[in-house]
Amino acid sequence: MLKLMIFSLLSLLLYADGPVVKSGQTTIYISGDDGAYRAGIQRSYSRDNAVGVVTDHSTKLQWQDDATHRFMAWSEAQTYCAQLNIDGMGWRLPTKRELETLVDYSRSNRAIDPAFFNIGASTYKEYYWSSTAYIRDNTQVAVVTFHDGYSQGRRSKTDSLYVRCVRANNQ
Amino acid sequence: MKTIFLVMMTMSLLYGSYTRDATSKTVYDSQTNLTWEDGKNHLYKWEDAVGYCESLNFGGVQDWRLPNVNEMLSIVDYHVQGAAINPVFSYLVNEPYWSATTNAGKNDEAWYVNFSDGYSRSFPKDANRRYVRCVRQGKLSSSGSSGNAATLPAIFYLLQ
Repeated sequence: MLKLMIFSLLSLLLYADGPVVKSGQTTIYISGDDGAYRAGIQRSYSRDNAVGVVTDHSTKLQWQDDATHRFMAWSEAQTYCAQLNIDGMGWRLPTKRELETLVDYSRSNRAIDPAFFNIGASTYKEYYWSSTAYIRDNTQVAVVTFHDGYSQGRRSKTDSLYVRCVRANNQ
Repeated sequence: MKTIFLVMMTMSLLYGSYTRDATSKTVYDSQTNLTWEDGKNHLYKWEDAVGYCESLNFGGVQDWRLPNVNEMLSIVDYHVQGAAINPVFSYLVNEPYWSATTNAGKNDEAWYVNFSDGYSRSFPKDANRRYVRCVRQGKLSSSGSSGNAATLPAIFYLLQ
């Protein structure tokens, strides 16, 4: 019975993604496109500058956005987030889907909201780690960049990339 | 009772928040409150893809549209090997599907999501035909009768 309960709770967690956020596109290129409908929920950010944490009240996620930037392999990045103490603990690597909620598709340079001072800034042009393995090769992991417009790809777990941690907003 | 419970658990794990209605050939996702067209595979260039969804009369409704990139990414399932889409969808191809979102840096390109691996990329709107799956907000009123039990959250059964 206990196993069943754990199993079902895990299945809930797997699918607990919630509603879709707006892409950010507002330009209408053709009638009926994304800019015309602007479907999804509006992202709503607030920044705590003292600790360098940005909260998205729509996704209820908090993002590490302090001035220190870290560059490391994937397994180190997981440990780094687990041990991170900025305004408390509870940090982890974001999933690919969580990183994608940050993308502002109306911007081609720094495709992310200006509430973020550091993620995707000009000095951090590289890709960021996600926790999501590439389904066709589990030695690779999904990675996302914001600087020269949004882009995603996959990298070997042994590469060194930027890391930013996320946690649920419990406030 | 235990057998029913186990079946529910398995369905819940496999299909999550999705329900397919065989009559209307649509899939409803209760997480996003979106209904997806799932009756045929279509190939169009981008502008024609937008136009196809705009004029679609399907499942008794006409308010279909081409999904934006985040909506398209919402049906990617990174746990499914081979095709990164939930097996509740009957019509699926391991190929790129257009989104309604234009690349802000290259306006002659639009974002697509490739269901061979669940990744999005941008591609010229006018170069090639790509697959299309239209979406609409909310649940079809006619799709309420079949298969709902499978999508009730597992916790519901634990609380009973």
